[in-house]
Amino acid sequence: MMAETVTAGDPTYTGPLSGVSLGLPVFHVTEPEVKEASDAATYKDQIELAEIAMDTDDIWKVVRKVREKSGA
Amino acid sequence: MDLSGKKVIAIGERDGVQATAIAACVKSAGASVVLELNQCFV
Amino acid sequence: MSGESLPTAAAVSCSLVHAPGLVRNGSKPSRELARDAALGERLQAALRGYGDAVAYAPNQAFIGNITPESLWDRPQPWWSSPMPGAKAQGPYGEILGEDAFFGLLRLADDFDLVHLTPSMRERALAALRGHPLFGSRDLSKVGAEPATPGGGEDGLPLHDGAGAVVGRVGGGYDQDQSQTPDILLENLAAKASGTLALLHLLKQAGLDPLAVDYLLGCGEEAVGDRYQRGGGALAKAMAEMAGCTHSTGSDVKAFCCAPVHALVVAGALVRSGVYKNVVVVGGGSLAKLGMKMGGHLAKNLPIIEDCLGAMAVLVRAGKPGDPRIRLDAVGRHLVSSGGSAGQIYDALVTRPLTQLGLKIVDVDRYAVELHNPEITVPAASGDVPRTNYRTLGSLAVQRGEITKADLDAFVREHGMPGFAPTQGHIPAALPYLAHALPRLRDGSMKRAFFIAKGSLFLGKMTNLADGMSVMVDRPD
Repeated sequence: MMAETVTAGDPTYTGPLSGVSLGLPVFHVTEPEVKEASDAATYKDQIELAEIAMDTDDIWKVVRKVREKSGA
Repeated sequence: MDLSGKKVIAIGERDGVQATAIAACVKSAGASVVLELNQCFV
Repeated sequence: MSGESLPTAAAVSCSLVHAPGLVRNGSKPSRELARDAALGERLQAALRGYGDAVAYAPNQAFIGNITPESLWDRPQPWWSSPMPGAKAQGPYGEILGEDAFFGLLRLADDFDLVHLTPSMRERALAALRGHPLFGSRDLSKVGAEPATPGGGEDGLPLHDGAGAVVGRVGGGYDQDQSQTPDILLENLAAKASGTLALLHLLKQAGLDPLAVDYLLGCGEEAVGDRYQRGGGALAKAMAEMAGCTHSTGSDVKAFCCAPVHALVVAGALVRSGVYKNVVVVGGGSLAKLGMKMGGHLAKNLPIIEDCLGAMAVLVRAGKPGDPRIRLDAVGRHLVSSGGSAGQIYDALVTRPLTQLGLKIVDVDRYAVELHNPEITVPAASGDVPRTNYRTLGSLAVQRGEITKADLDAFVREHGMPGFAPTQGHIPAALPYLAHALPRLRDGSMKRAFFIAKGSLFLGKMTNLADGMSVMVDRPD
């Protein structure tokens, strides 16, 4: 939902970004695009534990869909 | 993806990855963080 | 700190108030209804009846008729698999119906703010007269027109679960934005439901209300007026309503983290000898009713967030063999702890366990934020307890206590499904203390560990989150 809000506008039409398309490309921090660009030690320290616990495949699917839909 | 020089908004979540952690990562990739925000889903 | 002198959690009560008519007064529904009045009909059609709320398995776990762990083996979705023969009373509390609750709102009301229609007054009286906790009380206030009739004429309408207007709530002083009718209704709902939990606690513990020395409120409502928004407190108001006349109290505020802060403070007050019997009490959060309604309506689910949650914990000096609150190893998320999952769990779990010479797997059960996933998942908010248990398990993997292949088994052995309504501070770990206590006493469990987190950043005064943890164990 956050991904869609900052890209295409608030899908629930409740917040200030209702109908406002920022067109920003959105990535999840665990996606390879961000992970590989980050310093490995920093990533391990800051993200790794949460990443193990997450269903990253599902999250990536959703975030990628938002990126593709908006063309951002 | 080359993040160096890019401006990033870090949106975190309390029970997942918080914004400070995202910010630390993208900064290490050369980006500058213009805004850190956290969400609470409960 | 010697083990013998550690305080004990002597009793825990957990109750729900089924309040479908008040769902429209929740923050999200009231904003949505103001924007789109046509939504009212859809919302009304999606509300559950009392029988459905009682037969809802997570609610049965909340009041103690089933264990949280047993929810894993129940058919899902839970809302469409009602439990036959489910009872509204349980060992830890009850699921109160809305007629009785409207009566409690009036009993909680010392300023003639709540004006019920004559028919609602009758319904409330009938429900309360037959109630074991209220039947013998003076209920004349519930049945009578308030002394200041008409005070609620331009107030906020109150509805029952069928959508009928059954009363009004008036506001405080004109132009006082901290005492608008909706705010006062929130506060009265927290006071009334918290008092219900307090009365159940006293009954369960067999404690004379006069023996309570001090109460710590741990709810999230802002009680106050225009000069000190949120500066007031509910603990003493609840104490008065429950007849704890030899007590006083104050509120501990830390969003959802407050109950564990309060439990530690309560334990410290007992251990230091300041007070003998301290109660931690939290009432329900009206603002959070229907919070995830968007996701539920979109997926044709009933409005599951139709219950206020309330709980109370009695803390006192322990006798030998009583479960102990381990004040000697409290977990704190410090200002300097950092916000990554690793840093948070290091502060809340690894450090206190290391202090006690324990491994992660040495704890029988961890209680985390116990939000019912059936409420959060359809609204794209994830399964909060599952994420927390998997993170905890991942920490055990990192520390070499288990292998990654054991992760699912770890969650099953040391965790539980979320069973608490999304009522902010209510799901914050402590409802499981009710389940853990009898097991710690009978020896079928040795250690339970309670972890709460709070989203301090929501208040826009800091970007930090908060976290607090404490273990309750059985002495050797």
